[in-house]
Amino acid sequence: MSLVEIEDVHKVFPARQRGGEPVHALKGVSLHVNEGETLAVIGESGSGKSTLGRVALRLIDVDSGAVRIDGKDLGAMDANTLRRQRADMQLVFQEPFESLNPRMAIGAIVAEPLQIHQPQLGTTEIRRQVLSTLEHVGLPQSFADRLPGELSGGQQQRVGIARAIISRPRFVVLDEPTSSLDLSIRAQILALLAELQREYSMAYLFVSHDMHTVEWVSDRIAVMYLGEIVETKPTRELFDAPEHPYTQTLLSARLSPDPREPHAYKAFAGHKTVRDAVENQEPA
Amino acid sequence: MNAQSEELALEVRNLAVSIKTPHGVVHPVKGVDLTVHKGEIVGIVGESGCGKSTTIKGLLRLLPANSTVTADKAQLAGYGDLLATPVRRMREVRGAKIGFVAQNPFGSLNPIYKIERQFYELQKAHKTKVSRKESREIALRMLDGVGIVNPARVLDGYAHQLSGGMAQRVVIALATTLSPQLLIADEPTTGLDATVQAQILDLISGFVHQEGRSMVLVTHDLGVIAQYCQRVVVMYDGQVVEHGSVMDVMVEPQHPYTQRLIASVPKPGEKLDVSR
Repeated sequence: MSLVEIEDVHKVFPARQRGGEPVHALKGVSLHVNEGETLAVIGESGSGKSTLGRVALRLIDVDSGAVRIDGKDLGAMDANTLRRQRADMQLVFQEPFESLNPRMAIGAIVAEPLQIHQPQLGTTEIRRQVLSTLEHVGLPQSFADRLPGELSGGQQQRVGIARAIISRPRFVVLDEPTSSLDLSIRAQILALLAELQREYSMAYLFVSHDMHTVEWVSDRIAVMYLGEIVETKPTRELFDAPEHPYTQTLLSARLSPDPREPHAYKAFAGHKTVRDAVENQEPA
Repeated sequence: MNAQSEELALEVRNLAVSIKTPHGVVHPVKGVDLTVHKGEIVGIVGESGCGKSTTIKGLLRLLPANSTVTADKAQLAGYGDLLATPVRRMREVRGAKIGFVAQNPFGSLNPIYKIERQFYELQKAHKTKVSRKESREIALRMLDGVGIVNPARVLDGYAHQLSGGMAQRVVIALATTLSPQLLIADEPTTGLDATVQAQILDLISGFVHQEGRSMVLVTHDLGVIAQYCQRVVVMYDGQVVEHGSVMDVMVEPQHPYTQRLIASVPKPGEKLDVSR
């Protein structure tokens, strides 16, 4: 049994304006995440990948289908059971600063999950764990008394990670955790995430639109296109033999930092939109 | 691969920017040289805060009044010295002589005017005689040229109705309407999907490689540099630490900062090394 199982999930968001079309964000999505592995979900904006990440944590309720962790159906849990379950499943956001309360000290932000999930620990023990977690994510303990605005983007994201791992979850959704960071900082954060994963054997659902990054970090990749998963494969296999036209388009649009490897994106030259390219391309 | 020549399009020597702040004077750009030949795309690469955007905003004179831009030379071919031009006359340069594509297209488009009016105002500002009808025809042609499927609908709508990729196409169409010889693009595809990024960059570079135009492309994405630029300038802390042909700099970087930058990009086929 996989740690997380998502089975035939549908989600429709109502139209935002009168007369608008409802958005069918997830159209029968199924996937599983094994213990300790990184499954990347990749797709263009609007493909439903962030919705999927939130559905996997039941931050959004599904219209139909099931989400299970450890075989337990999240949708069937009452509020109390779900709250207890949340210690085991956490989220790291794309925009580190937006996801930290600007008026709370770093120490208080990182302490919150423990105060909720393990209040019996007491203030002293919680403080001790907060300081050791900060150190663990590469921040000095003195940062506990600082405010988010005093930190750089990379440091803020380390705080977001500390908050996510302090309750020792087995499953973490990473929603574009590095896309707002500079290159060298990005590499550091990815290395930190990989290190923590190995240490605590956490499973990651890594939502991203960056092929370079997912190739670097993931064991398997699920490709989303227009609300559906069109292809799921071990990372190497997906890169070596992409089957779906959208995956092929996505791969051909990668820009190698090595000028000796020109990109092969000509595959959809002449098509005005990605959709046009995908639908009118002959599968290789 | 294109009509690159030895003829200069832009020559900047020792450009410096200083900004007066309540906490004293800061120097985000400390003497930058930039040479752009006709037919060539020159990339400026560096991380946040290295001064790459400030350099080009300084050139275009788009910095706030508390800043000072100096240079030994800022020669634009077919025009003259940019820094010798009074700020109020820079409006004649921007749009007609230099097209500018900023990172956030929604910052470049006026939210309360229809797209059609923005094409009209651009043309009216530079040419005295253009009728609404002519302007609309030109706009339709430009939007079609940047791959917009239904140009008439876009013209009759507002910026907020467009997706990021569509809005950036509109900005590119606007920036190229008056056929400027030099295009300056500041992170034109940051935040866009990979597929859309490749399309937008193909569009811009297609425009540049027609008739020996040139471009300065500011980006932090080394893939964009490697695939679209002929030469690159690497900036760090307001200075140029390395410059040269993309082949030289990206394949055999000399400066430790460039080496570190390139080493931090995930390479295809490589797994993350956790041992570091």
